[in-house]
Amino acid sequence: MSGTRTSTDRARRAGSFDRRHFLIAAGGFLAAAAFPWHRWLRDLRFTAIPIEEHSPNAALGHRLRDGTIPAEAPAGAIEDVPVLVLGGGIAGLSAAWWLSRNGFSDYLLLELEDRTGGNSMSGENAVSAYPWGAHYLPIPNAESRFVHEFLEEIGAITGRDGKGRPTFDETMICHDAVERLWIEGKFQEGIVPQAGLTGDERAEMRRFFDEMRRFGDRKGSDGRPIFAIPIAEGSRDRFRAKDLAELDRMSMAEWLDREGYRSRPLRWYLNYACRDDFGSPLERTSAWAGIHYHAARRGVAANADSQAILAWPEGNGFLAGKLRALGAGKIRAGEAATRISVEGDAVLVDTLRANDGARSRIRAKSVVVATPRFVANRILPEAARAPIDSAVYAPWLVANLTVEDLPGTTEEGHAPLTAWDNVSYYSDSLGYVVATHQTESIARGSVLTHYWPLSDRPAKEARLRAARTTPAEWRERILADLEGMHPDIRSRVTRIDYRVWGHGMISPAPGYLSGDERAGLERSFGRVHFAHSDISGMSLFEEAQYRGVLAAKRVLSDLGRTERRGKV
Amino acid sequence: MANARAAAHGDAPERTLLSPAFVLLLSVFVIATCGLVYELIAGALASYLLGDSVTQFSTIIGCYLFSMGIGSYASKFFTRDLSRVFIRVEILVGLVGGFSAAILFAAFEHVGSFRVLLYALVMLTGTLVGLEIPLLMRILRKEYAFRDLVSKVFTVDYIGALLASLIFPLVLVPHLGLVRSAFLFGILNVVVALWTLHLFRRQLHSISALQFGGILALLALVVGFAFGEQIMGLADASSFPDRVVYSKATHYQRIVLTQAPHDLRLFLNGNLQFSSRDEYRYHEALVHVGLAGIENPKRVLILGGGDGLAAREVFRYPSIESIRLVDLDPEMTRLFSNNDVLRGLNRDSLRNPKLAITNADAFVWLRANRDTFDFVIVDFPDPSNFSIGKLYSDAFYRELKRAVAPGGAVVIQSTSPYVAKNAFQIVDNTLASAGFRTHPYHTNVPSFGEWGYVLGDFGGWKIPTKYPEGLQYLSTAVTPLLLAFPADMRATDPAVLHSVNRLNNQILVRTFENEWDAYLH
Repeated sequence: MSGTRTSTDRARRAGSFDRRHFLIAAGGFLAAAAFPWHRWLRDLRFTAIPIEEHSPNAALGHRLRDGTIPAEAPAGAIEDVPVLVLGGGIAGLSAAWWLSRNGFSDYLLLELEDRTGGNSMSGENAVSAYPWGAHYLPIPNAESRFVHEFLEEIGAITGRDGKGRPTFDETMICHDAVERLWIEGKFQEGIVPQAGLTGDERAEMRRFFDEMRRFGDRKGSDGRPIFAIPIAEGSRDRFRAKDLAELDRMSMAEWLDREGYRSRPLRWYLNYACRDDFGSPLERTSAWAGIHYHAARRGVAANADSQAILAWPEGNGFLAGKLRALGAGKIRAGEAATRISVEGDAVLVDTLRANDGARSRIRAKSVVVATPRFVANRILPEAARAPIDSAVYAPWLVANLTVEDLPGTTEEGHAPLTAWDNVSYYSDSLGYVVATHQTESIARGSVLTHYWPLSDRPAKEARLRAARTTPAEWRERILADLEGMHPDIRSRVTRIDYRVWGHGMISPAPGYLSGDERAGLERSFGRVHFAHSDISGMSLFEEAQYRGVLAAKRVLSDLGRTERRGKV
Repeated sequence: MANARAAAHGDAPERTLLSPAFVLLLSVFVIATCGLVYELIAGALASYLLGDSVTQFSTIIGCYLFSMGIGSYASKFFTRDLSRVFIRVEILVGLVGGFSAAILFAAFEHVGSFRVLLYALVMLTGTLVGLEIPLLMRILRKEYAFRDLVSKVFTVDYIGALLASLIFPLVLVPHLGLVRSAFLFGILNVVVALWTLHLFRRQLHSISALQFGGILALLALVVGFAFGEQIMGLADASSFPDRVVYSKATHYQRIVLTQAPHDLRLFLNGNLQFSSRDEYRYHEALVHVGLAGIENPKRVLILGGGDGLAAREVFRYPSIESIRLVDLDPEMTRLFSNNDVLRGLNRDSLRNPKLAITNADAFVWLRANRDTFDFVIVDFPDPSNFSIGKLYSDAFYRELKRAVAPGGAVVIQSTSPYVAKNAFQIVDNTLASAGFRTHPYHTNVPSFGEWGYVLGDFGGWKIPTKYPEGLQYLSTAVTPLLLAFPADMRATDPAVLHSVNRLNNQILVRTFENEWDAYLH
């Protein structure tokens, strides 16, 4: 090669190589970009599982509390609405349902969050719908009349047999297997511990459940059961009888001590039950409430046993969705009431729109305040505020883990015999439910909803601690918790979405149910009526719905309307 | 390395062990080894995937050697810059050979004509390897006397071949597997190329592009070596008795095909679905006992059966106007529509214009369906988990009933009445509870064992008096044996005699699991 030729050659070649170079590199990068690197980087633990927080809109509430946002809307146009419902949880939605059901549809419902549902809120992703809170409804008791009516209306009860027992849509009855417990290194069916129990422990279990049956059968002087759902449909003696009043004033732990229930498996189970329904441990739950959990369920069905439950992939979000659909066009989400005032016959409500801060004023004839009372007390006029020092709202963490395969799936893809509800004897959480359990699909992926009542310390302290916990810390805590049952959990999870419910649910602390403060919550303030499960003292669908319907009944009476059906 | 001519010229410093000439000879060795390894891999892979190893090895070796001839011939057209061409070819050989096994495994499902791709890759590798030796001899021409050169190059070449032929069966296949072996030798190829490049850096101009390309190729191969099997899902091959030739985790299940001599097997989630040796027994019994017993069947529904084997049997009836096949997994129907070997097995039934495929959840699809069919074949995996158990529930069979035309019938594959006697009885009860008149029957499928089916009708089905031509197993003489149940295939648990599998009791899955567990352990 001669010198001169080489240099020009080189220059030319260098140029063409640069271009080719670039094309090759670009092609390589494109190919690399198309490859699902994130997946195997995750499998190899090079990258962390994505996690995202979806907590309720606490900031707005706190700003209102701190006075950063003025409660009073500036003067302007006033919107007239005959009936206004504040709060789109089950109580508010049920109040609206009852109004519609009785031919009154001239109402408006405001919800602070961007969607209604409250504790029955749900979400959905590409894999499945999933609950954000409450996730099942037991076969309703006979006295849960409004629940029966509602289930009939939405087709969940399809008919009745000769004995009047309801037939439920079988796709909604929780499919087998319902629940399992991780204990002694394996899963057993059912959550009441069975595996590895001594004879004494078994005997104590039997004694406990026999006693619960007796409580369940107990009736007051009026012939009504002591323990009913809703609580208020029970005998008037429920807190009057001396021993029962005493039960509510002592904690479940104290009662167990007194009655000599000491075995660890039994107390574990009862603690689980209290935390499951009330978000509080044995020591901070009323014994009356703790017994109610085991003594009040008496539902019957034509096509399921009385212990059966109704469940949906999105949990009680299914019920909230039906209620939402019934109120379509009359619900405004993302708008909060900031002040309630009374002017003559009218009730004025100032509101704030969460996304753009727009203010407005609504004038209503009647108002249903279906928010927790600690929220209502901030926006009500001084005279209408009810003391609630004894009310405890338990904080919860709910995490939805999207999984590629159910934990325990073998290398060859053989899925485990899983249950809908999966609990560990050794964990501080309540385990998880499988969202896809109630579908007929046999796709591999699912969403596991992990429940964690933050009850290891008093509610306020736990709430503040939860607010300070970072997403990465939650991720580690959630995965470490599940690893106890499923060592392979980290390789199954593709993302985690979680929600910290700061004031997750009313907790029946000792004395709350029978106390004067709670009874005071039932009273209306003029044409302002209240509807929330904190009036009942237990955060159950049946209670929230009951409170919503009672408030709607008072509204109908305000308006001089008669109801077409139902009487209380 | 001694060299008379070089010594005479006195430029001894160039003649160290790491001299370009030595490295070039080393390249010959590596190329020879790699070349033969690629060829052996292609041969082994072809016999895994296509069967018939004598034909595969013979044609692949022939094709490979012939391609080397093409390469050798083509080498004369390269006249300038030989070292650069050589290095480039070597990187290319590394890339093509290194990725060959991965490409062939990955293409098994997608390419209609797998053989075309196979031979194209073999020829490409052969041609590139064929180019190398002549090029090298021309590069080394100035370094050695011709006599020496020929002797050295070919000695090294044949030693390399010997090494390859020994380590391939003894080390590579048992310890690394085909995919990783190919990547390993690809890496060796490229490393030698880069080393050569390094030594020739003064003689060659503008080598940065070549360096860049080489390093990129090396990286790709290393990634392939490290993660290739995981990415392709072949890593768990050890849990299957035979060679895994295809493995894919789809959205719904893990599909695995394994190949032993004369036996192709399909596994879904680790459960055997068929063995090509005796699947005809299973499918003839599944389809014909019912279908030959109804008048003039025209419209058939197949739920599950994405392998197309049941459809193949249905097409034996000239009266058939249409088949609707509903299988959950699109990957499954795609695999059995596209792959040569599998299309041979199902006689291209999935591509028959009379057959329409719907990829959907059977339960969800059935609930929305308003069509009726003369015969419905329900061929789901065994009820080994609660999701699949729902497809054996009374709720499902009630939906199924709506899809049966007057005079029609359904057949349910119902696991083994020998192993899972009580589970089998529950399927029968459940179908009967939905209003069907049931006729349980069974047959022996050697790879499965004694297998059972439950036929359901509303009075329109009669014991067949005539079967289609060409069946290997079923005949009117055999049929009564299928319908007779000996004592050891009857339910043993009095509690299940009237048990019905419902969504909220899933008694079938529990019984099935207990019985199979007891049988296998």
